[in-house]
Amino acid sequence: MFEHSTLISVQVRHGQAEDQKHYFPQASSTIMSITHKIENKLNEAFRPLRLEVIDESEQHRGHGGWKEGGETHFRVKIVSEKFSGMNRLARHRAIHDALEEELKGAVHALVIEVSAPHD
Amino acid sequence: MSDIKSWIEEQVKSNDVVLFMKGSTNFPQCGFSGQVVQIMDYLGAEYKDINVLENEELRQGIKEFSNWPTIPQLYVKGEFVGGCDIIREMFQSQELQTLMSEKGVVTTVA
Repeated sequence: MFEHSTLISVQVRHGQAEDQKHYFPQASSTIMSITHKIENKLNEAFRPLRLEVIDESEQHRGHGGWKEGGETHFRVKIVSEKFSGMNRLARHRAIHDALEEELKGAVHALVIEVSAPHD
Repeated sequence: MSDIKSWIEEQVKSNDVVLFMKGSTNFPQCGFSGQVVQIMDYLGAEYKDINVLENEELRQGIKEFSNWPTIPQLYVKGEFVGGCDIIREMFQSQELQTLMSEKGVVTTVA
């Protein structure tokens, strides 16, 4: 059914983050969630072969930087050809640069799993 | 260069291994800092821990010093090595152990 297939495609695209948003209706009711902004910026900057942006805020409930509503602690899993020939620091710095606005703002913690296809 | 940056530079130059973290090695106040403490303790390397929560100027200054937006930050022989993700990956692949021994830092784990 249409509704069923829509739900599946959304979950595949956003992974765990989408599951967690069900508990935080206010996070998904904003015009564009931080999760979406991060996805858009990383897609644009790196044209990744694989990208997963996961909101892990719930695991940090009550810890430093955590806020009600989530979207403070993220994990990014990204595979892109653009990281070929870059060392670990350069890869992380490239991602920090792409997400500068978010890191200076609402995002308190960002776990990065980055690789190039032929690592 | 501002006072805080000179102070940071002095720390990373006068100590072989320096970890800028949230909290202390005995009482890390952030899970990511705690992970790096566990790795360093496992390696048995001597290191100096500096708690950035004790000084707001330091907390911001260290980010500018290394052009790195997050804490913890590990320095070996004056050189910035990385944050929690990088340290963990390098530890798991033995690169961190190799780096330490190449730089002449004594560890208890080969």
